Amino acid sequence: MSTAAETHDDHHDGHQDPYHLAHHFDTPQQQFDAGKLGIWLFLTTEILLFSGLFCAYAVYRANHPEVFEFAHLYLNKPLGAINTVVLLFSSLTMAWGVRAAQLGQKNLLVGLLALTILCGFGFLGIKFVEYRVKFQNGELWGPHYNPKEMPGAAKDEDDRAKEDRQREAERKKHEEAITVAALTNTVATAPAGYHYDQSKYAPASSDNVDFASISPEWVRQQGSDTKPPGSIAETWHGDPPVNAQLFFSIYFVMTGLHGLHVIAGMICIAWILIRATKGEFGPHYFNPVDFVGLYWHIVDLIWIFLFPLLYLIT
Amino acid sequence: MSDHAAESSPTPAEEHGLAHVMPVKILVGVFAALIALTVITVGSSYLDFGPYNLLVAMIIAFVKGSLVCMFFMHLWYDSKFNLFIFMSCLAFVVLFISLAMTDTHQYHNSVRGGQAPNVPAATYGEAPPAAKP
Repeated sequence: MSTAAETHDDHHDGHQDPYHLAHHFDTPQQQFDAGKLGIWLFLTTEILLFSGLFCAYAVYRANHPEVFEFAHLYLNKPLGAINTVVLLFSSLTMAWGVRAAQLGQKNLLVGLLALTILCGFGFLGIKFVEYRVKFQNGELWGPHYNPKEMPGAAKDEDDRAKEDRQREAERKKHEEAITVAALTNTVATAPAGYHYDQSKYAPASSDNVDFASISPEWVRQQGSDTKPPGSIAETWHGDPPVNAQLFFSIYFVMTGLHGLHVIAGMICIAWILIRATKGEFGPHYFNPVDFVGLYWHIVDLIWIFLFPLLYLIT
Repeated sequence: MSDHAAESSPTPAEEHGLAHVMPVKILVGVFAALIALTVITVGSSYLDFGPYNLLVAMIIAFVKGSLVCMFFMHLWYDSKFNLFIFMSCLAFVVLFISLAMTDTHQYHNSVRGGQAPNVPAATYGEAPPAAKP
């Protein structure tokens, strides 16, 4: 016991002092706890940073749920799910890496850190594929929102279903054109100030409609503009909502900022990896591995919430 | 205090006391649970729970997040002060978002019909001066 006391008390004299213990700390334990407290404080600021974006999301979704229900159909759900699994797996390898560092298993640590970085590249690669499709199809933020097609048309559908939908749309358009023609023959002038979507609202806004001219077909079409109840539509029926670009503004800011965090995490892990190859970590000093791991997990944590909020809207 | 042969041999850090070492079984088990919950949350998005879909998705996300925090991030075994810091951060997030949400439907009167829920389409054609473009 006396030798133990000496080893711990004499570290200012040098020879027993672990080289990684900064001189302003008394013990490795104090250094570790202080570092951990610091990284947790940093992580709270990260959460608060993202909470601003989650707040924007909540406010816009509460006010314009139709925009989210419509625009999320442009997202590729399988790719999002795969990315979730990739990130969860990288969290496992990172947590295991911390264990390996604690146990001084150098080769295992190096391998696990390399695997974690690889998962980071995988995540970014899949994200890149998703972004590229959105840039190609004009599914972008604000004034750049100019989608080429209705959601669901480019994915998860075989060509037959696509053709069916096009045929249905053409048929509907044709019938509406006929109905509008019939109505405009009956109603001489549209009411003052009336300038929206005649085919949809003409009958209700006029006193002089010859109701006999409204075909049952037309009435049926109006009813089908809403989603059939009791099922989750993977395609959109009816007109797209206005201001759908709101969704993509939020989507790109949230996933973009998250992507930057993934890149930052990968850089930090690469730094840890280099130090690990030099054998700097062991049972008495693994603080950087643990702290970088915590950062990587918080990135994973944020994705755990982003994924259902952006991809799994119903 | 343990024998100080521990100082020279590569023993687990728990003996040294720096931090708890996570058993591989728990790590892999937590990962399996996270994958299972991911499958459940994706599957539930194809079902219709009416207004509860968001609630279900968020509950699953909270369970997944707790698993990551407690085991991958060691909060379960850590100094409780770290947990306290984390929880107070979440409390402020809840405060922030819930206060921001209190006036959610306040401005519907100035929103053109059809652009927001609960604003009747009858306001079409007589767009109020305050309407958004």
